Amino acid sequence: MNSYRIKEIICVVVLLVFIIVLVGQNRQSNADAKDVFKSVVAAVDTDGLKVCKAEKFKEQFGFEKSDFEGVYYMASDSIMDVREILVVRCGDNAPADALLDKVQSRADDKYGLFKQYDPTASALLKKYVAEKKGGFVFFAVCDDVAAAKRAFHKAL
Amino acid sequence: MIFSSAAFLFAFLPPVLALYYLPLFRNRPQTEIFKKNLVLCIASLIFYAWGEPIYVILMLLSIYFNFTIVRDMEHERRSPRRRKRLFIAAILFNILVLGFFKYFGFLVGTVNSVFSLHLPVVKLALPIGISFYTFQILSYVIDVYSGKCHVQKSLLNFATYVTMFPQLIAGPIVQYGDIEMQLRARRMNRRKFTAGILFFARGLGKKVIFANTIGAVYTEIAALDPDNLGAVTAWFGILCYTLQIYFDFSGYSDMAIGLGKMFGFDFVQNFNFPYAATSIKDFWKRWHISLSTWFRDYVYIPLGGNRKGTPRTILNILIVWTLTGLWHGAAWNFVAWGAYYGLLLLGEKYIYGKALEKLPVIVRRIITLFIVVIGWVFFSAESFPAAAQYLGAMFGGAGIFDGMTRYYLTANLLPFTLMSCSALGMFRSFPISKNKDLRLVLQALGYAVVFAISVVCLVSDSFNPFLYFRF
Repeated sequence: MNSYRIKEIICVVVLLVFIIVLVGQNRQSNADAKDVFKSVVAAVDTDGLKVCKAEKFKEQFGFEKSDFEGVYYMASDSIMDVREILVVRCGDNAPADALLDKVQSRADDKYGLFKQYDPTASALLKKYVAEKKGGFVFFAVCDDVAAAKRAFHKAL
Repeated sequence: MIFSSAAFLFAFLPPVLALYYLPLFRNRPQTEIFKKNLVLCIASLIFYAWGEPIYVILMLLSIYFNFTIVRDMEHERRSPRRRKRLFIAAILFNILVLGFFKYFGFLVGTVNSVFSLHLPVVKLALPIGISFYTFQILSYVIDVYSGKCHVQKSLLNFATYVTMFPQLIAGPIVQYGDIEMQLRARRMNRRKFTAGILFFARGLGKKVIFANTIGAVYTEIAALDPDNLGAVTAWFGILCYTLQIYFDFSGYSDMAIGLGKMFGFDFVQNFNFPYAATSIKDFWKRWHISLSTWFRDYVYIPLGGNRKGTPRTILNILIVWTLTGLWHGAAWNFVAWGAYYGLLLLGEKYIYGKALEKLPVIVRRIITLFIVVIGWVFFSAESFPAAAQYLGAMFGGAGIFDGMTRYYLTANLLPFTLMSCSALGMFRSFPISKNKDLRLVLQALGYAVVFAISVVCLVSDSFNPFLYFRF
């Protein structure tokens, strides 16, 4: 086997590894949004929070619920309670990146507002989790974000 | 990174040009050109990585694989069978890589919907410019195999050819044969550099001042409910898109050609007033010239072109145009758009072409433009049903006028008229002055003003990518 052939084979192998890693990171989950949401809610303390309707989702994030395959949003009625959990199954052509951007910028803005006068709320907002994985957008501001994140990943 | 951004204009381009022209090896031309190619190649990788760091790996792998396999092909030139096998392997590699990243999701989605299956769809971001650089690589592989060009022995030169940032993201698609010599030696002088600046300023103006302005009107109209869209508004909307896509893409091509000249390269012309075409065949000789040339040279002619009888010619034309549609995007509306042009070209070739030629030029231009505008409906729509719905509105599905018709027409009539005249080439022979020097000074001043206005627009505008980036 000449040296060219070895280089070609190495290239193909590296390319295959690259594709496998890339696909692994972008795999779409078949999980139902409701089940994912239930798993997350079961993993954290949600006392005082309630599941919100489409209007609240639109009001908070500026998107129509119908733009996505499944939207589950939980928040408090009190404006002083910053805890919230959002699980969105995006589906084809859904504005997933725009939603993630909105979620992040909104959390950052809220942190800017609360850090002046509510250390507890600002501490929660500082460690929020927002990510896009497996065709879902996940956002949580709660006491144990690590547990929420673990539950989300496990449910996918 | 995009050309029409402050980061590119003020943070990226000036230092790259400074490094490129730094006369380190003035007395050793070979070393100097090596240094220039090195600067250009590294700058191009940074340019690409700016938005897509992960896909630089894919591009580098593709470059190295193709460089190696073509050298291997030449190494095996005494064994035609092995050489052919390597050639097929190279073609397959490139098509599979392009196919996987661009069409796999579309294919699985289609299979799922046809057979009611639920195969998992892998959704990967499309590596930017993959359609363009894959076609350039294929041009190299095919040209070397067919003996049209020599094998490139320098990996740096080959990488420079593939990655060259002026045309990496959205063309023009440079065929290897057109640039082979320039990679080894190219003429760089003040005249060429100045011409490059003028080209670039013109392209920037087309994109930032024209395309973005008229594109905003189309975006507004396209967002309206098509069930309540009056025919006049719908026509005005798609005419705005017609102008937007021309100024956007030809602006990008002008900028690419201008940047090429600044670095001493001569790229092929990509647009020649396509909306002034007198037939569809003529339109495709004027629109995205580098793509239609590529398909002619590497698909149509190898398939037999028109040399194997009428049925085979018809089949070849349909194959080429379906592929042209698919090249633009992995969706059925693009396939329909490609097939639409295939059928029209067949019609012109075999049915009504001669009758068309007898009509006055102005009538032929209007007919061609009408056909092209209808084609843009398929091209601009997000899906095939959305295109059908918009077409319905254009032909009076929701009445002739709506509540917004008058507003859109009156608010945008002046820029629309000016841009239409410009796109039709009416300002081409505008008499500036008979004095050559004065003409040059006025031209330079004009482009300086265009550049200044573009920069002001850039500062106030948000992100405005080129339409052709998604291909």
